[in-house]
Formats: sequence, C-alpha cells, structure tokens
Amino acid sequence: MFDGALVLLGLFALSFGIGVVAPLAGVGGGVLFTPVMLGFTNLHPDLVRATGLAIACYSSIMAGVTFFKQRIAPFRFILLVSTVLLPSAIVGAQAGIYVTALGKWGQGLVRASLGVLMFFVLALLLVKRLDWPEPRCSSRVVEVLGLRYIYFEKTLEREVVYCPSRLGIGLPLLALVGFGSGFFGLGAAWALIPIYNLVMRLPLKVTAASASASLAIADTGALWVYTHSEKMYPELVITAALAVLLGAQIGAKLLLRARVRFVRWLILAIMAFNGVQLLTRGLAEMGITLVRII
Amino acid sequence: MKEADSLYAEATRRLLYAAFIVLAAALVTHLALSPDALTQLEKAVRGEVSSWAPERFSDHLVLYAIYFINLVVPIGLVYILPTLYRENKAAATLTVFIVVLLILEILGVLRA
Repeated sequence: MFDGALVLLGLFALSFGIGVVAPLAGVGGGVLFTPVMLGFTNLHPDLVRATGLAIACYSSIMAGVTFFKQRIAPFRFILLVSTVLLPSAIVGAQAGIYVTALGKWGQGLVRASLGVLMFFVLALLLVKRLDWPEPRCSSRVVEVLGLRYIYFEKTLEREVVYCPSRLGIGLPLLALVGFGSGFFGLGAAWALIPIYNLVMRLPLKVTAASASASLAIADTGALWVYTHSEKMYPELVITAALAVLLGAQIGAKLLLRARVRFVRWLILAIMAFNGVQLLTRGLAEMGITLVRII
Repeated sequence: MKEADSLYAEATRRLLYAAFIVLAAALVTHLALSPDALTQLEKAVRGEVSSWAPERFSDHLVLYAIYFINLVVPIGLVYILPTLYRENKAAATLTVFIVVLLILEILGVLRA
C-alpha cells in the first residue's frame, strides 16, 4: 500500500517533470511521455500508449480553446484535416493494439519502430521553416469551405492572406501522421508543422497554432479504441495527464523567461539517447540482437 | 452573434475544466474506496498488468470520469453544428461526417 502510494507520487513527479521540460525542447508532453515510459519502465506498451494519447488529446483540446478564440488557428481547416486524421488515428490505434497482442515480439516491434521514429522527430525539429510562404488559393476545396483567411500581422504592419495549398499532397501525408499518432500514442505537432508550413504553405504562426489544435478530434477517436479494448489504466491516465498538463503550463512560462538554448539541446540529446535505447531494447525483445542499453 | 470557432472554444473550455475536476475527484474517491488500487498500480508498473476492466462501483466511477473527458470534443462539435450550418454548409457536412464517425467509435461499432 505504502509502496503503491510512492509509485503514484513518483509517476506524478515524473509526468510533471516531462510536462515542464517538453515545451523547452519545442515538443508536446505526449511526445516525451510515451518514449520515456516505453524505454525506461516495464509498464505494458498498451497502457503507456493510451496514456500518451490522452495527454496529446487533452493538450490539443486546451490549445484549441486558446487558438480558436484568438482566431490564430483556422477552424474550418482543422475540420478538413480531421476528416483524414480521425479515421487514420482510429486505424492506427487498432493496429497498435493488434501488434502488441502478438506478444514479446510485437512489443519489441513497437519499441524499435518508435526508436527509429524518435530520430525522424529530431530531424524534423531541425528542418528550416518558412515565415510567410506564398499562398496559392485557386483550389475548389478552398473556395467551397471558405479556407481563404486574412489576418493583421503586427510585426509586418499589414494584412496577411493565407490558405492551405497542395491539399492533394498534404492530406495523404496527414493520414500517415494520424496513423502514427494512434499507433504510438504520441502527439504529432512535430510532424504536422512541416506539412502545414512547407507543403500546405500556411504562415508559421498559423502553422504552430493549427498543429497544436489539430489532434483533439483525431485522438479522441483513437482514445475510444483504447478505452473499449480495456487498455486504459485509470490511475495512470488521470495522474499522468493532469501532471503533464500542469507541468506544461509552467514549462510554457519558463520558456518565456529562461534562456533555454542549452536546455533545448540537452533534451534533444536525451531524446536521441532514448531513441537508441528504444531501438536496442525493441530489437532485443524481437530476438534480432542481444545488445541492449539499459 | 458568436461564430462557430468561438462557440466551440467556449464550450470545450467549460467542459474540459469540468472534466479535469471530475477526473481528480473520481481518482481520489477511487483510491479511497478501493484499498487494493495502489497495489494494482504497483503491479502495473512492474509490467504484470496489460489491461483494466471495472469490477466495483468505484471502478465505474473512475471509468465514467474518463468517458466524460473523452466526450468533450463530440459534445463541442454537436453544439456548434447549427451555427456552422448557417456559416458554411460544406464545413457542417464535414462536421457531421466527423461526429458520425466518433459516435460509431464511441458505440463500439468500429471495433476490428
């Protein structure tokens, strides 16, 4: 009983810490939570992914509250992308549960592929972005859904016109992101930002807000998959989700005050180590290698 | 009259904060009423638990709290549907598609 209380307290502290440092690295809490828990604890992958997904989903709802009200994230655009993200996240969640049900080998596969994905996350975090990409608003979809937006940008002292371009390339890419989010139980702003900014040519400020608010609908659907499959562990979900969200509030404030360059690089290095560790542990569980770091 | 995005933001904000309070209250009640809940958590952390299903009243309490927070988005979307229909019929159609998909998932129809 006493040990259990310590476990709960430790879980809260760890999740809170993840919540604080994640914004400093420029990622969401869900992106750090799932790999850290899968890499360094013995918790069952399904329980970890359900919790990571809950963190990503609730964070995204919170972001939507702020960004839709301030009109930084275009709501009808989010609805459009959600029609792709939602079904793919549901399929991803079902696939994830199916793969871990294969036993040790399946769990190893999840860990190893997440390890590889961590390096992809790091690479995308380093990709250069465009502040004001040139919009091409000639698409019929843009016209019908009214996706041509104008807002006044204070820093430029002029109105900025923008609309999502190249939907034919962007939307299929979003299907991959939705699948990954449901499969791994991860937030996916790191993947959405380059797609929205470099492929769909949304301004960087709009991109960042839209990416944060995009996964609320999709991850809600994926969460119900985990809930129906009895893969939600209440103490874990509630404690970790509340702690990460609380920590993220503090992390966001620290981001404005502290010099975070060193901290950011430190966290990115930890993510890289976490990636290697997940990969080696996963491959060892699959019986491919014997070497395992931690 | 408020636009759909503002209405959605307002509705989800209220529901989300209510859900956080319900979640915290349900967790405390669950821990108080289920003496073995922490022992079970220890087992889960050791990797001995792979799924969880409610057995007692307090288990259902905590499960319903999770249901509630998972319903924030669908409720918000249904709430703004009439306003969205007046603003843009195509966007309202997309929302209907999303809501139907979510309802099917919530009812367990889409389980593989």
